[in-house]
Amino acid sequence: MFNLNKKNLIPLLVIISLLIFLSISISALRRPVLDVAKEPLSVISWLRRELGGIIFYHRNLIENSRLRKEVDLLRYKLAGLNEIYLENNRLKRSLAFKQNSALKLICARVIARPADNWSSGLIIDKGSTSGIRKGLAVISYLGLAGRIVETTASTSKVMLLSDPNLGVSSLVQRSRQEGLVCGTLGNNLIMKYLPEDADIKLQDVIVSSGLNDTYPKGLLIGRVIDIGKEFSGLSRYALIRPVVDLSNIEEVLVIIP
Amino acid sequence: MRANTLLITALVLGLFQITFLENFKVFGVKPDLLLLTVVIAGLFWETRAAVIFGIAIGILKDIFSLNTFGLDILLFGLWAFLTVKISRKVSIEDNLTRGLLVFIIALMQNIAVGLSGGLSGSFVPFGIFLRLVFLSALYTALPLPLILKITKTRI
Repeated sequence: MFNLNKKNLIPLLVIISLLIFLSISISALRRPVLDVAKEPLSVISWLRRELGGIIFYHRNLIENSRLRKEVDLLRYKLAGLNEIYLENNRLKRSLAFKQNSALKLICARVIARPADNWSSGLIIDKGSTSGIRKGLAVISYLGLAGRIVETTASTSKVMLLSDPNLGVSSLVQRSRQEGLVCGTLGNNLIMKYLPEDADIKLQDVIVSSGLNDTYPKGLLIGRVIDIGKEFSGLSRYALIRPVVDLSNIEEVLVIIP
Repeated sequence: MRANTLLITALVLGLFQITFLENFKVFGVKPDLLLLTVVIAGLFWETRAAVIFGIAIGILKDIFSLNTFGLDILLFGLWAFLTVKISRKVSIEDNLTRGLLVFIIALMQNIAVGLSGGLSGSFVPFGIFLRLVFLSALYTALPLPLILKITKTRI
């Protein structure tokens, strides 16, 4: 099957070396291809959304009526919160509280997803010309979604929270217990490095801790749905259900610091 | 099988894989249609053409992935080479055997990518690892008769 002799060993080694070089320098190839592919991908993405609307008509109809009810409820809550917000503003002013600068957001549309099952990410239609750069946090209207890992002039790649390569320093909103939230490639996230006596309960809200500059403090990540002990027995972990439906994102917001 | 037909099919399936297939995920898993085209090339083409095709499709897949290292460039070329060698030693004429071959290659591809991720420090729970490895391999093998029909009718 493999007829290796001295004569064809050298060309084979050269080819393998070239392939390894190509593998390492794949990032350089991505930029031009992604820039060229942006427009066709936008068209296909639009087509996919429109066809999805027709194919999943009944599901969308039910979801629409559920969302309408939710909107009514949220409008009611928002009216109450507006009062609190105005009161808060008044109090802040009266205390001469130095307000943090508001977040600048860039809205982007999802045009594609990674081709493999072993990473969780998005390709969005905004890039470095819109001010997006590597390392910026990506959110949806509900909470934290991921981080920019690569940009071209007109597209960017987002690594989602569900990717195991992404870790977010986070804390339990109620008890301020710190931990590291990582992806699992599944529906849930995992909060690691919790001490044995960590003050964490089911349904606790997890937010970003703001310990590093990438993610602003207080961004909503999810809720605790299960707590367990690590295999070593030295620490505990918590399973987190993310607030953002990471498998169905269509638009995202990139935070520009 | 014509080179142009398979190349165009691969490009269309690649675009399909990064856009439409999100709606057809089963248990969070989608089939690797690009790998499928590489195995088809290995079954019907000569070694050199199949390996070059495998490397080209590997580049295409790696362009749309999040990994810093282009592992598919190496793996797809290897799978194309192995498919050619196996198909010369063993008679692979019916779709069931071809499907089994795709399943085994997809299984090896998933194990290689999964383990490389694990070695680089990204932890995936064992249950999810198994689900991705087996279900994705099965899901990749299932559309083979359809893709073969599409590519063969264009000869």
